[in-house]
Amino acid sequence: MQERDLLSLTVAGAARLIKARKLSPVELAKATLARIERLQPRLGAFITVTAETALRQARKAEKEIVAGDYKGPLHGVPVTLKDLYATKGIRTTAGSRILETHVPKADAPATARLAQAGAVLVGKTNLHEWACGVTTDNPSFGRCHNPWRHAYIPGGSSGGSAAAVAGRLGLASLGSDTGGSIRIPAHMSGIFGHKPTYGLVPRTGVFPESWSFDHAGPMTLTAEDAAIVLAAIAGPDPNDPSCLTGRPANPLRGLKGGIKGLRIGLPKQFYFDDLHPEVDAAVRRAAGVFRGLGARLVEIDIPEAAWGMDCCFVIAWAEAAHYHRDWLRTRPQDYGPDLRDLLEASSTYLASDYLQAQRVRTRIRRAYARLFDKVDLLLSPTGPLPATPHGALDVEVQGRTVSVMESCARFTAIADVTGEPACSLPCGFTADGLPIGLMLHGRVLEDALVLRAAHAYEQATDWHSRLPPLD
Amino acid sequence: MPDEAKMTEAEVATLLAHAELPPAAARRAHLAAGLPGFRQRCARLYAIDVAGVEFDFLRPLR
Repeated sequence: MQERDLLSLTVAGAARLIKARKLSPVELAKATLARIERLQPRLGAFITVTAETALRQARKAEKEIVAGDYKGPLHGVPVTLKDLYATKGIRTTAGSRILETHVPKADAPATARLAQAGAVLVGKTNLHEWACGVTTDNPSFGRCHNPWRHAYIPGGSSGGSAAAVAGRLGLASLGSDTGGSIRIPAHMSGIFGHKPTYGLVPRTGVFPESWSFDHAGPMTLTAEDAAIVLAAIAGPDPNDPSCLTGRPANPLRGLKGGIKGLRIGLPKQFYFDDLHPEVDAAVRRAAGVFRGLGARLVEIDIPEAAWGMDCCFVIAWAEAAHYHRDWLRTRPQDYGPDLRDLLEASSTYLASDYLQAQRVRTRIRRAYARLFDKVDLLLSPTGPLPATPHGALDVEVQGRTVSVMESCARFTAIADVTGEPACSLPCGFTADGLPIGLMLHGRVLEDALVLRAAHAYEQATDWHSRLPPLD
Repeated sequence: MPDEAKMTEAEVATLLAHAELPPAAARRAHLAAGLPGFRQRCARLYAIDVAGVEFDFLRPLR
């Protein structure tokens, strides 16, 4: 197998070839590792490359498949993990100097479930320090670059996972999303990212940013691939009390059922305010594609959306400051300057501030529950801007100066506040060649519907199959 | 509550001491510039009527 053969593969496509014994998991792992070796200096997508583990798992998978013990569509498929997920015997840093030599004694359940499904781990990906930010400019493990434009951020905090998937350095990854950390890098790096319903995927063994808002989920090239990964990692976990206890619906069931008659809400305000004009145009064109596929577009009012960022910020950062309390006092020098500023400032939040934000959260959640009586899905841009240049702390949006973090998470934070499922998928590019993502947001536990609509859009467009200029 | 647009270094020092953070005199001016934004965020949240929202935030998905 040649490295260039990787460029046309998805998880589903590789699985078909592996199952038919037309593609060797060992050859696939070797080609992926060779590509990582070539592109890692350019992308900075990895903190640890797990070549030995990958080859061992690939040989095991190959032996099992040849013996007729095929486990399913992840068997023999190369994947990566955000370096926030515990991996037994493999360093897990959370992108922090504090954990630079930390080697877990056990896998996170999500890690273990991927392994049980036969996936092949090729590496642990770079992230914004402690998953607390959107640039993936990591002070300890280096800057991760956008595969489409080197001088730009890939988004974050799961930026390494997004860069790896976009660069075909592993066909799927697991990221985490607290204010948008799966969907923001998916949008900026031109891939698919799904934030599942809160509690669908266990967070045990995944270093926290905010217990109230943290979600673990898949980052892939397509909605079908995300459904494959989600089916493998979702399900109860006795060690994560926030995890839902019922058996989750299979997100692959009905994936290809189309969207005829679906009611898709287009917000009249907030989500389309202060957008980069090319983002606005791409998402409105995408809305037309959904209409053409038989969906009914419904204009909706959801003024509570404007509260989401403040609500998410106060709760998430208060919880993060609490989690980091001891290290912030004993090892403040081991934090990067941007994160130290945010954690110190967030340490001054009062209990009353936190509780007010939690009560506002309930009002937002009630408003969205009412909204989803009228529509089945909400369609919006994932973010108001495409990727920004590395080093830019502030950007101009329609003549106003806003912080990059504020801008990036403006639309994504809401689904973390409500716990509802939401995905980002490519819907175009700027004239400068930067990807643009759209977001689909659905009812609690209707992850399958979100993925089905995304899959239908992908069948009608080819944005998801474009390749970044790396070859 | 102080005038949120103008936080002094002394006010920052008080807030940090209350949070039991080690003194970081060199950082006070820096944080004095950033902290008002944090208070403004809370002020916007306090302006939202949350009467009748008392228990169910403890169960986010119900």
